[in-house]
Amino acid sequence: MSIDVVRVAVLTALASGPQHGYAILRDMQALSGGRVSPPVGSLYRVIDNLVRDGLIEEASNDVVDGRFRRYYQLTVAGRHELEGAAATMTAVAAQARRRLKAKPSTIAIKGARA
Amino acid sequence: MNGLERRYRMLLAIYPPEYLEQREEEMVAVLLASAHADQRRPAMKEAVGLVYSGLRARTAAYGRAERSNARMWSALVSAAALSALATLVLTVHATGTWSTERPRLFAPFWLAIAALPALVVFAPRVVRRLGVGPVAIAVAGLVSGRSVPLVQRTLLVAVVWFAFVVWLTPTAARISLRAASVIVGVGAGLAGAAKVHSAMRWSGPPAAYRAPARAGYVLQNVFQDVPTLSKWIWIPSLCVLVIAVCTKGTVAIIYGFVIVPLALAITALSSVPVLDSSLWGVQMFVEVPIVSMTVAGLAAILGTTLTMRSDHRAVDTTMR
Repeated sequence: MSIDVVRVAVLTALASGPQHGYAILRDMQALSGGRVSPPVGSLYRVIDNLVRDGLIEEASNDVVDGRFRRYYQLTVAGRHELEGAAATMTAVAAQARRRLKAKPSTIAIKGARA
Repeated sequence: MNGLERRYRMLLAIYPPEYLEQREEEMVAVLLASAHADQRRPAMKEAVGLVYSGLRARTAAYGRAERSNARMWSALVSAAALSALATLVLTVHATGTWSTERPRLFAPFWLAIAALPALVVFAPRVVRRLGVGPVAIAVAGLVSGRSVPLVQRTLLVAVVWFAFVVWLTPTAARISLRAASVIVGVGAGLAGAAKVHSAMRWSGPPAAYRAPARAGYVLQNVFQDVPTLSKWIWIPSLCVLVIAVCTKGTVAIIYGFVIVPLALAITALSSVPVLDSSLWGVQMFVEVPIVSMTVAGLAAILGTTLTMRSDHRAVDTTMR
Protein backbone atom coordinates (compact mmCIF):
# COMPACT_ATOMS: atom_id res chain seq x y z
CA MET A 1 0.00 0.00 0.00
CA SER A 2 1.45 3.34 -0.97
CA ILE A 3 0.58 6.57 0.81
CA ASP A 4 0.30 9.86 -0.99
CA VAL A 5 0.54 12.59 1.62
CA VAL A 6 -1.53 15.13 -0.36
CA ARG A 7 -4.23 12.52 -0.92
CA VAL A 8 -4.37 11.63 2.76
CA ALA A 9 -4.33 15.31 3.70
CA VAL A 10 -7.37 15.99 1.48
CA LEU A 11 -9.20 13.06 3.04
CA THR A 12 -8.22 14.30 6.52
CA ALA A 13 -9.44 17.82 5.70
CA LEU A 14 -12.82 16.37 4.73
CA ALA A 15 -13.04 14.00 7.72
CA SER A 16 -14.76 16.59 9.89
CA GLY A 17 -17.35 17.54 7.28
CA PRO A 18 -17.90 18.93 3.75
CA GLN A 19 -15.51 21.69 2.63
CA HIS A 20 -14.81 23.68 -0.54
CA GLY A 21 -11.48 23.80 -2.44
CA TYR A 22 -9.87 26.75 -0.70
CA ALA A 23 -10.96 25.55 2.76
CA ILE A 24 -9.41 22.15 1.99
CA LEU A 25 -6.16 23.85 1.00
CA ARG A 26 -6.05 25.98 4.15
CA ASP A 27 -6.93 23.02 6.33
CA MET A 28 -4.15 20.91 4.77
CA GLN A 29 -1.62 23.65 5.42
CA ALA A 30 -2.81 24.07 9.02
CA LEU A 31 -2.89 20.38 9.92
CA SER A 32 0.58 19.74 8.47
CA GLY A 33 2.21 22.81 9.98
CA GLY A 34 2.61 24.28 6.48
CA ARG A 35 4.50 21.22 5.18
CA VAL A 36 1.72 20.12 2.82
CA SER A 37 0.89 23.03 0.52
CA PRO A 38 0.44 21.82 -3.05
CA PRO A 39 -0.20 24.18 -5.97
CA VAL A 40 -3.88 24.49 -6.88
CA GLY A 41 -3.35 22.47 -10.08
CA SER A 42 -2.01 19.54 -8.07
CA LEU A 43 -4.76 19.85 -5.48
CA TYR A 44 -7.41 19.49 -8.17
CA ARG A 45 -5.57 16.59 -9.76
CA VAL A 46 -5.80 14.80 -6.39
CA ILE A 47 -9.45 15.82 -5.98
CA ASP A 48 -10.26 14.50 -9.48
CA ASN A 49 -8.59 11.19 -8.68
CA LEU A 50 -10.38 10.89 -5.33
CA VAL A 51 -13.75 11.59 -7.01
CA ARG A 52 -12.92 9.06 -9.73
CA ASP A 53 -11.98 6.44 -7.12
CA GLY A 54 -15.23 7.10 -5.26
CA LEU A 55 -13.47 8.21 -2.05
CA ILE A 56 -14.98 11.70 -2.04
CA GLU A 57 -18.04 13.18 -3.75
CA GLU A 58 -19.50 16.56 -4.55
CA ALA A 59 -21.86 17.69 -1.79
CA SER A 60 -23.26 21.07 -2.87
CA ASN A 61 -22.54 24.32 -4.70
CA ASP A 62 -22.52 27.86 -3.45
CA VAL A 63 -21.68 31.37 -4.65
CA VAL A 64 -19.89 33.60 -2.13
CA ASP A 65 -18.83 37.17 -3.10
CA GLY A 66 -19.51 36.31 -6.74
CA ARG A 67 -17.16 33.34 -6.59
CA PHE A 68 -18.24 29.79 -7.29
CA ARG A 69 -17.66 27.19 -4.59
CA ARG A 70 -18.08 23.45 -4.79
CA TYR A 71 -18.18 21.45 -1.57
CA TYR A 72 -16.79 17.95 -1.28
CA GLN A 73 -17.45 15.26 1.32
CA LEU A 74 -16.02 11.86 2.24
CA THR A 75 -17.81 8.74 1.06
CA VAL A 76 -17.96 5.55 3.12
CA ALA A 77 -15.10 4.15 1.02
CA GLY A 78 -13.11 7.32 1.65
CA ARG A 79 -13.61 6.97 5.39
CA HIS A 80 -12.27 3.39 5.25
CA GLU A 81 -9.33 4.51 3.11
CA LEU A 82 -8.45 7.23 5.60
CA GLU A 83 -8.69 4.83 8.54
CA GLY A 84 -6.29 2.42 6.80
CA ALA A 85 -3.85 5.19 5.87
CA ALA A 86 -3.92 6.60 9.40
CA ALA A 87 -3.19 3.17 10.90
CA THR A 88 -0.25 2.66 8.52
CA MET A 89 1.16 6.11 9.16
CA THR A 90 0.81 5.72 12.94
CA ALA A 91 2.65 2.39 12.85
CA VAL A 92 5.44 3.71 10.63
CA ALA A 93 5.75 6.96 12.57
CA ALA A 94 6.01 5.07 15.88
CA GLN A 95 8.79 2.90 14.47
CA ALA A 96 10.56 5.93 13.02
CA ARG A 97 10.51 7.70 16.39
CA ARG A 98 11.74 4.60 18.21
CA ARG A 99 14.62 4.04 15.77
CA LEU A 100 15.65 7.66 15.69
CA LYS A 101 15.81 7.62 19.49
CA ALA A 102 17.85 4.37 19.50
CA LYS A 103 20.68 5.76 17.36
CA PRO A 104 21.06 9.44 18.06
CA SER A 105 24.82 9.52 17.34
CA THR A 106 24.42 8.24 13.77
CA ILE A 107 21.85 10.90 13.06
CA ALA A 108 24.11 13.62 14.42
CA ILE A 109 26.96 12.55 12.15
CA LYS A 110 25.07 11.64 8.99
CA GLY A 111 22.41 14.30 9.15
CA ALA A 112 25.10 16.96 8.74
CA ARG A 113 22.76 19.74 7.75
CA ALA A 114 24.14 22.35 10.12
CA MET B 1 -11.84 40.94 -13.94
CA ASN B 2 -8.46 42.13 -12.67
CA GLY B 3 -5.03 41.38 -14.16
CA LEU B 4 -4.29 38.47 -11.87
CA GLU B 5 -7.54 36.74 -12.68
CA ARG B 6 -7.03 37.27 -16.40
CA ARG B 7 -3.52 35.80 -16.19
CA TYR B 8 -4.73 32.80 -14.22
CA ARG B 9 -7.47 32.21 -16.79
CA MET B 10 -4.86 32.34 -19.56
CA LEU B 11 -2.84 29.67 -17.76
CA LEU B 12 -5.98 27.61 -17.24
CA ALA B 13 -6.49 27.55 -21.02
CA ILE B 14 -3.86 24.80 -21.06
CA TYR B 15 -6.53 22.49 -19.62
CA PRO B 16 -8.88 20.80 -22.12
CA PRO B 17 -12.13 22.78 -22.66
CA GLU B 18 -14.36 20.03 -21.29
CA TYR B 19 -12.36 20.08 -18.06
CA LEU B 20 -12.63 23.86 -17.78
CA GLU B 21 -16.36 23.70 -18.29
CA GLN B 22 -16.59 21.80 -15.04
CA ARG B 23 -13.78 23.31 -12.97
CA GLU B 24 -12.68 26.73 -14.23
CA GLU B 25 -14.73 28.98 -11.92
CA GLU B 26 -13.98 26.86 -8.91
CA MET B 27 -10.23 26.82 -9.56
CA VAL B 28 -10.09 30.55 -10.29
CA ALA B 29 -11.79 31.17 -6.94
CA VAL B 30 -9.22 29.03 -5.09
CA LEU B 31 -6.30 30.59 -6.97
CA LEU B 32 -7.46 34.12 -6.21
CA ALA B 33 -8.24 33.26 -2.59
CA SER B 34 -4.69 31.96 -2.09
CA ALA B 35 -3.13 35.07 -3.65
CA HIS B 36 -1.87 38.07 -1.63
CA ALA B 37 -4.06 41.15 -1.58
CA ASP B 38 -1.75 43.18 -3.84
CA GLN B 39 -0.57 40.31 -6.03
CA ARG B 40 -0.70 41.06 -9.74
CA ARG B 41 1.14 38.13 -11.32
CA PRO B 42 0.57 34.41 -10.83
CA ALA B 43 2.91 32.84 -8.28
CA MET B 44 5.63 30.74 -9.91
CA LYS B 45 4.55 27.68 -7.92
CA GLU B 46 0.94 28.00 -9.12
CA ALA B 47 1.93 28.71 -12.72
CA VAL B 48 4.16 25.63 -12.91
CA GLY B 49 1.47 23.56 -11.18
CA LEU B 50 -1.21 24.69 -13.66
CA VAL B 51 0.96 24.04 -16.72
CA TYR B 52 1.93 20.59 -15.46
CA SER B 53 -1.56 19.58 -14.34
CA GLY B 54 -3.07 21.07 -17.50
CA LEU B 55 -0.81 18.97 -19.71
CA ARG B 56 -1.63 15.94 -17.56
CA ALA B 57 -5.33 16.63 -18.05
CA ARG B 58 -4.75 16.99 -21.81
CA THR B 59 -3.17 13.55 -21.94
CA ALA B 60 -5.71 12.00 -19.58
CA ALA B 61 -7.34 10.33 -22.60
CA TYR B 62 -4.35 8.02 -22.76
CA GLY B 63 -4.11 4.93 -20.60
CA ARG B 64 -1.23 4.51 -18.18
CA ALA B 65 0.98 2.48 -20.54
CA GLU B 66 -0.04 4.66 -23.48
CA ARG B 67 0.91 7.77 -21.58
CA SER B 68 4.39 6.50 -20.78
CA ASN B 69 4.76 5.56 -24.43
CA ALA B 70 3.48 8.90 -25.64
CA ARG B 71 5.93 10.58 -23.29
CA MET B 72 8.83 8.54 -24.61
CA TRP B 73 8.00 9.00 -28.26
CA SER B 74 7.62 12.71 -27.69
CA ALA B 75 10.95 12.82 -25.88
CA LEU B 76 12.49 10.98 -28.80
CA VAL B 77 11.33 13.36 -31.48
CA SER B 78 11.85 16.39 -29.24
CA ALA B 79 15.47 15.38 -28.77
CA ALA B 80 15.88 15.08 -32.52
CA ALA B 81 14.11 18.36 -33.14
CA LEU B 82 16.17 20.22 -30.55
CA SER B 83 19.46 18.87 -31.87
CA ALA B 84 18.41 19.71 -35.42
CA LEU B 85 17.44 23.21 -34.33
CA ALA B 86 20.77 23.68 -32.52
CA THR B 87 22.63 22.44 -35.57
CA LEU B 88 20.70 24.77 -37.84
CA VAL B 89 21.54 27.76 -35.65
CA LEU B 90 25.20 26.73 -35.52
CA THR B 91 25.29 26.18 -39.27
CA VAL B 92 23.89 29.60 -39.97
CA HIS B 93 26.34 31.02 -37.43
CA ALA B 94 29.30 29.18 -39.00
CA THR B 95 28.45 29.95 -42.62
CA GLY B 96 27.03 33.36 -41.78
CA THR B 97 24.23 32.90 -44.26
CA TRP B 98 20.98 31.17 -45.01
CA SER B 99 21.83 31.05 -48.65
CA THR B 100 23.47 27.61 -48.61
CA GLU B 101 20.75 25.48 -49.95
CA ARG B 102 20.89 22.44 -47.69
CA PRO B 103 20.46 23.99 -44.24
CA ARG B 104 17.32 25.64 -45.57
CA LEU B 105 16.06 22.27 -46.68
CA PHE B 106 16.50 21.03 -43.13
CA ALA B 107 14.22 23.67 -41.68
CA PRO B 108 11.03 21.69 -42.30
CA PHE B 109 12.71 18.73 -40.60
CA TRP B 110 12.71 20.16 -37.11
CA LEU B 111 9.59 22.21 -37.64
CA ALA B 112 7.50 19.24 -38.61
CA ILE B 113 9.15 16.84 -36.21
CA ALA B 114 8.19 19.11 -33.33
CA ALA B 115 4.60 18.43 -34.36
CA LEU B 116 4.49 15.07 -32.61
CA PRO B 117 4.71 16.29 -29.00
CA ALA B 118 2.14 18.92 -29.89
CA LEU B 119 -0.12 16.28 -31.45
CA VAL B 120 0.28 14.02 -28.43
CA VAL B 121 -0.76 16.78 -26.05
CA PHE B 122 -3.41 18.62 -28.04
CA ALA B 123 -4.97 15.90 -30.17
CA PRO B 124 -4.96 12.91 -27.82
CA ARG B 125 -8.01 11.34 -29.44
CA VAL B 126 -6.54 11.36 -32.95
CA VAL B 127 -3.17 10.10 -31.78
CA ARG B 128 -4.81 7.47 -29.64
CA ARG B 129 -6.93 6.18 -32.49
CA LEU B 130 -3.96 5.96 -34.85
CA GLY B 131 -1.43 4.85 -32.25
CA VAL B 132 1.52 6.90 -31.04
CA GLY B 133 4.07 4.73 -32.84
CA PRO B 134 2.54 5.05 -36.34
CA VAL B 135 2.08 8.80 -35.86
CA ALA B 136 5.76 9.07 -34.87
CA ILE B 137 6.73 7.07 -37.94
CA ALA B 138 4.52 9.18 -40.16
CA VAL B 139 6.07 12.36 -38.79
CA ALA B 140 9.60 10.96 -39.14
CA GLY B 141 8.93 9.69 -42.66
CA LEU B 142 7.13 12.82 -43.77
CA VAL B 143 9.77 15.24 -42.57
CA SER B 144 12.80 13.19 -43.48
CA GLY B 145 11.39 12.87 -46.98
CA ARG B 146 12.59 16.34 -47.84
CA SER B 147 15.74 16.70 -45.85
CA VAL B 148 17.53 13.42 -45.27
CA PRO B 149 19.11 11.33 -48.04
CA LEU B 150 17.38 8.14 -49.06
CA VAL B 151 19.62 5.70 -47.18
CA GLN B 152 19.40 7.54 -43.87
CA ARG B 153 15.70 8.11 -44.37
CA THR B 154 15.11 4.41 -44.88
CA LEU B 155 17.16 3.52 -41.82
CA LEU B 156 15.55 6.21 -39.71
CA VAL B 157 12.09 5.00 -40.54
CA ALA B 158 13.22 1.39 -40.14
CA VAL B 159 14.60 1.99 -36.66
CA VAL B 160 11.50 3.93 -35.62
CA TRP B 161 9.28 1.25 -37.12
CA PHE B 162 11.26 -1.47 -35.40
CA ALA B 163 10.96 0.28 -32.05
CA PHE B 164 7.23 0.44 -32.70
CA VAL B 165 7.04 -3.28 -33.41
CA VAL B 166 8.79 -3.98 -30.12
CA TRP B 167 6.48 -1.54 -28.37
CA LEU B 168 3.42 -3.20 -29.89
CA THR B 169 4.47 -6.72 -29.00
CA PRO B 170 6.84 -6.41 -26.07
CA THR B 171 6.77 -10.08 -25.21
CA ALA B 172 6.80 -11.39 -28.75
CA ALA B 173 10.54 -11.91 -28.98
CA ARG B 174 9.90 -14.13 -31.99
CA ILE B 175 8.44 -11.25 -34.01
CA SER B 176 11.14 -8.85 -32.82
CA LEU B 177 13.77 -11.35 -33.84
CA ARG B 178 12.29 -11.70 -37.30
CA ALA B 179 11.97 -7.94 -37.73
CA ALA B 180 15.52 -7.48 -36.46
CA SER B 181 16.98 -9.91 -38.96
CA VAL B 182 15.11 -8.17 -41.77
CA ILE B 183 16.38 -4.77 -40.65
CA VAL B 184 19.95 -5.96 -40.11
CA GLY B 185 19.79 -7.59 -43.54
CA VAL B 186 18.47 -4.45 -45.20
CA GLY B 187 20.99 -2.32 -43.30
CA ALA B 188 23.88 -4.56 -44.28
CA GLY B 189 22.70 -4.58 -47.89
CA LEU B 190 22.45 -0.80 -47.97
CA ALA B 191 25.84 -0.51 -46.27
CA GLY B 192 27.38 -2.80 -48.85
CA ALA B 193 25.78 -0.89 -51.71
CA ALA B 194 26.95 2.43 -50.28
CA LYS B 195 30.50 1.13 -49.87
CA VAL B 196 30.63 -0.23 -53.42
CA HIS B 197 29.21 3.03 -54.71
CA SER B 198 31.78 5.17 -52.91
CA ALA B 199 34.62 2.78 -53.83
CA MET B 200 33.67 3.12 -57.49
CA ARG B 201 33.70 6.89 -57.22
CA TRP B 202 36.99 7.08 -55.34
CA SER B 203 39.87 7.08 -57.79
CA GLY B 204 42.53 6.63 -55.11
CA PRO B 205 45.44 8.96 -54.42
CA PRO B 206 46.77 10.91 -57.39
CA ALA B 207 49.46 8.96 -59.24
CA ALA B 208 51.99 11.75 -58.79
CA TYR B 209 51.98 11.30 -54.96
CA ARG B 210 55.01 9.59 -53.43
CA ALA B 211 54.60 6.68 -51.01
CA PRO B 212 54.23 8.60 -47.66
CA ALA B 213 51.77 11.02 -49.21
CA ARG B 214 49.86 8.15 -50.74
CA ALA B 215 49.64 6.44 -47.32
CA GLY B 216 48.42 9.66 -45.72
CA TYR B 217 45.87 10.16 -48.45
CA VAL B 218 44.50 6.64 -48.06
CA LEU B 219 44.45 7.03 -44.27
CA GLN B 220 42.56 10.29 -44.56
CA ASN B 221 40.05 8.70 -46.86
CA VAL B 222 39.51 5.84 -44.42
CA PHE B 223 39.26 8.20 -41.46
CA GLN B 224 36.69 10.31 -43.24
CA ASP B 225 34.65 7.17 -43.63
CA VAL B 226 34.67 6.35 -39.91
CA PRO B 227 31.39 8.13 -39.09
CA THR B 228 29.72 6.27 -41.91
CA LEU B 229 31.31 2.99 -40.89
CA SER B 230 30.34 3.34 -37.25
CA LYS B 231 26.79 4.01 -38.33
CA TRP B 232 26.69 0.63 -39.95
CA ILE B 233 27.88 -0.81 -36.65
CA TRP B 234 25.45 0.85 -34.31
CA ILE B 235 22.29 0.43 -36.29
CA PRO B 236 22.52 -3.38 -36.37
CA SER B 237 23.77 -3.17 -32.77
CA LEU B 238 20.64 -1.32 -31.82
CA CYS B 239 18.58 -4.14 -33.22
CA VAL B 240 20.67 -6.65 -31.30
CA LEU B 241 20.17 -4.69 -28.11
CA VAL B 242 16.44 -4.73 -28.64
CA ILE B 243 16.51 -8.47 -29.19
CA ALA B 244 18.64 -8.77 -26.06
CA VAL B 245 16.12 -6.88 -24.00
CA CYS B 246 13.25 -8.90 -25.42
CA THR B 247 14.86 -12.30 -25.08
CA LYS B 248 16.97 -11.45 -22.02
CA GLY B 249 19.98 -13.10 -23.65
CA THR B 250 23.03 -12.28 -21.52
CA VAL B 251 25.57 -12.40 -24.34
CA ALA B 252 23.40 -10.21 -26.52
CA ILE B 253 22.91 -7.71 -23.68
CA ILE B 254 26.67 -7.41 -23.13
CA TYR B 255 27.14 -7.01 -26.87
CA GLY B 256 24.46 -4.36 -27.05
CA PHE B 257 25.66 -2.43 -24.02
CA VAL B 258 29.32 -2.47 -25.10
CA ILE B 259 29.07 -2.13 -28.86
CA VAL B 260 26.30 0.46 -29.06
CA PRO B 261 27.92 3.04 -26.72
CA LEU B 262 31.28 2.35 -28.37
CA ALA B 263 29.86 2.94 -31.83
CA LEU B 264 28.09 6.07 -30.62
CA ALA B 265 31.33 7.35 -29.09
CA ILE B 266 33.18 6.67 -32.35
CA THR B 267 30.47 8.50 -34.27
CA ALA B 268 30.68 11.50 -31.97
CA LEU B 269 34.49 11.63 -31.82
CA SER B 270 35.02 11.07 -35.51
CA SER B 271 32.61 13.88 -36.30
CA VAL B 272 34.99 16.34 -34.64
CA PRO B 273 37.44 16.66 -37.58
CA VAL B 274 34.51 17.78 -39.69
CA LEU B 275 33.81 20.66 -37.31
CA ASP B 276 36.12 23.26 -38.85
CA SER B 277 34.88 22.63 -42.35
CA SER B 278 32.28 25.11 -43.48
CA LEU B 279 29.97 22.24 -44.28
CA TRP B 280 30.18 20.55 -40.89
CA GLY B 281 26.69 21.67 -40.06
CA VAL B 282 25.32 19.77 -43.01
CA GLN B 283 27.17 16.65 -41.90
CA MET B 284 26.01 17.07 -38.34
CA PHE B 285 22.50 17.62 -39.52
CA VAL B 286 22.34 14.06 -40.65
CA GLU B 287 24.39 12.62 -37.79
CA VAL B 288 23.08 14.46 -34.75
CA PRO B 289 19.35 13.89 -35.18
CA ILE B 290 19.88 10.25 -36.02
CA VAL B 291 22.29 9.72 -33.14
CA SER B 292 20.10 11.53 -30.65
CA MET B 293 17.02 9.76 -31.95
CA THR B 294 18.82 6.50 -31.46
CA VAL B 295 19.86 7.36 -27.93
CA ALA B 296 16.34 8.47 -27.09
CA GLY B 297 15.00 5.44 -28.94
CA LEU B 298 17.15 3.15 -26.85
CA ALA B 299 15.88 4.78 -23.70
CA ALA B 300 12.33 4.51 -25.01
CA ILE B 301 12.68 0.86 -25.92
CA LEU B 302 14.39 -0.01 -22.64
CA GLY B 303 11.92 2.01 -20.63
CA THR B 304 8.94 0.61 -22.49
CA THR B 305 10.14 -2.92 -22.09
CA LEU B 306 10.88 -2.49 -18.42
CA THR B 307 7.83 -0.47 -17.42
CA MET B 308 5.37 -2.44 -19.48
CA ARG B 309 6.38 -5.77 -18.01
CA SER B 310 3.35 -5.78 -15.75
CA ASP B 311 1.03 -4.93 -18.65
CA HIS B 312 2.18 -7.81 -20.85
CA ARG B 313 -0.23 -10.30 -19.45
CA ALA B 314 -3.18 -8.03 -20.07
CA VAL B 315 -2.05 -7.37 -23.64
CA ASP B 316 -1.54 -11.07 -24.29
CA THR B 317 -4.94 -12.04 -22.96
CA THR B 318 -6.73 -9.50 -25.10
CA MET B 319 -4.78 -10.54 -28.17
CA ARG B 320 -5.60 -14.18 -27.65
